[in-house]
Amino acid sequence: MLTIEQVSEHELKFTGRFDASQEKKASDELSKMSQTVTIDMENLDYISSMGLSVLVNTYKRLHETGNTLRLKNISSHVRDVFKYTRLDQIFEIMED
Amino acid sequence: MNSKKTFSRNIDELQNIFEFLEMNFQKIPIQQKDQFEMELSVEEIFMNMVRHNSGSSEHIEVTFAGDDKTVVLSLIDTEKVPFDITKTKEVDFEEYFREKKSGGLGIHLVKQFMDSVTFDHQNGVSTIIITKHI
Repeated sequence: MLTIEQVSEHELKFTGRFDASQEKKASDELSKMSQTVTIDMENLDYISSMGLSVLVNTYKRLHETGNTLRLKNISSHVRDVFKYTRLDQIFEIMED
Repeated sequence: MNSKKTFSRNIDELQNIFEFLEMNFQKIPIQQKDQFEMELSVEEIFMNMVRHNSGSSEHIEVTFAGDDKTVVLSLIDTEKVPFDITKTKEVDFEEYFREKKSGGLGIHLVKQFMDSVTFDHQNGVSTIIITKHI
């Protein structure tokens, strides 16, 4: 189960597991963001390719208006998923 | 130890699949990283079966075999037209990012995380076996 908390106007916090069953919830929440957004992933334990797809689509949408998607506090397992898909070269990842 | 369970062809079954895997992982000495990578691989293959064989109403069987050295997981699906994930093209990342695609990374991750991925199709039944040395 994925929990999404709005920390501030431009920051969300993802907690739990971002598997394919959470796609709609995450897409709906991210579609509300129209400016550069930061996602705090400190407590995100799991992400699959469907989760990546939601993030990439959000990045693409924001990028078209000169904004971007930033990720921070990524745990080691989740970081591996970004590394092996080379998405760590696309997203702006804020180091701990 | 060996265990198996069938799941309906539905995204909502993911939680039940994770619980099945977790129950089995608790019986062997496995690191969190290996468990994460096996859960992800099973999700990717299961979702691939659901998407590419959406006309079927047959259940998908997941089997678990593991000891202190190796975990072997099988996903077994009834499908008329086999979809061999081991023969999918390697991801061309330059093309991927140039064309701003957003999907198709799941099987790539399975191949990265697992030590072995095999596919077999006999009598209308496809079996994908993934193996990881832990």
